Amino acid sequence: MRGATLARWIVLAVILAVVFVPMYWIVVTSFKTGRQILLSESVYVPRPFTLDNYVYLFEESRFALWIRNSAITATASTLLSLFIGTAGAYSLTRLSFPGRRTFGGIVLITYLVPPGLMFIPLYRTFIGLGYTNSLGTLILAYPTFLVPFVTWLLMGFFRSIPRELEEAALVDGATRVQAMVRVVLPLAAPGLLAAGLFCFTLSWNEFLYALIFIADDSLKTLPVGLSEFVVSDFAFWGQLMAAAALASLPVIVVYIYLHKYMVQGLTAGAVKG
Amino acid sequence: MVTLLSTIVTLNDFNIVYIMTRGGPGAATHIFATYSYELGIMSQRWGLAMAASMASLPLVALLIVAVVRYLHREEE
Repeated sequence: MRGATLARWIVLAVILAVVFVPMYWIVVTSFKTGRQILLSESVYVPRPFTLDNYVYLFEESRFALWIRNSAITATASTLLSLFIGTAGAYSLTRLSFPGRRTFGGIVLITYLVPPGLMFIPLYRTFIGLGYTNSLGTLILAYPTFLVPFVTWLLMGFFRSIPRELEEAALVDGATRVQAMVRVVLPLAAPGLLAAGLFCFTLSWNEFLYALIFIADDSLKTLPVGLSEFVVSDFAFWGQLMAAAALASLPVIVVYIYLHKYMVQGLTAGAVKG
Repeated sequence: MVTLLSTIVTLNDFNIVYIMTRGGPGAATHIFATYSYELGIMSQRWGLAMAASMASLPLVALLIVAVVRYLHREEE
């Protein structure tokens, strides 16, 4: 028994190290000067401790602009996907129409087809529409993988909400939409929150589509902007790490604050089915 | 299950390879997505680019079918 506990602690410690050492590395490196990084001086606690990298980001790069672009795209595509995904998941779980099961399967398949396969057709489509190089392009492109994801997550969630609650509302004279908005959605709030957070993180981190669809320098999103700190074999580690630290901050803060709802949302949605 | 999913994702990953090597030196570290990016977006050879990414489709399709089957069984 005691051996098992010890083994469990060791496994936990290893997992924690795998997760936290890179994060620690990012933060530490972001406070170093170029010299300290290249010559591996004062590796674990930077001395001197410099804020130059952060100053550089805001004064000499377009970091603030990238943040803004990312925030706009991620928020808009998350809201759009939540709206479509909720409606889709609701109708696939609660209404009966021919081909419902097939359609549910198709949603899952679309979710699993990787963007690496999709980007060329998608790019050609946007070219054909004459609508590339705008944040709007990304806002329309991200739901191609967000909507199936939201739908799939929420389908599991809606299934876990007793049908009877809604039937009671219908009997009392509510319309379908009222029953959905007033009864089902409040109960599904943790699921919606989890889905929304995941969508936001996915689009905040999205790289491939943002790289391809945006040519204009002032419209670049964070990940694409960050990749510019890597020039062939050389990287501006200090600036890159400072930017990475700041870029992950909003997501980390939100997760710390909301993770209890998240866990609830995920287990109810995905596992119980 | 996790293995299946991660195989699907990794097979057509783009980000890590693009950032670390851009498929180079030469074409030694290309994978499906980076190669079709280079053919399509960089050289505008759309047919070849689509062929390059479609080459992964049989395997991806097989894996997807496996995942979908598994999930559907769990549902019932």
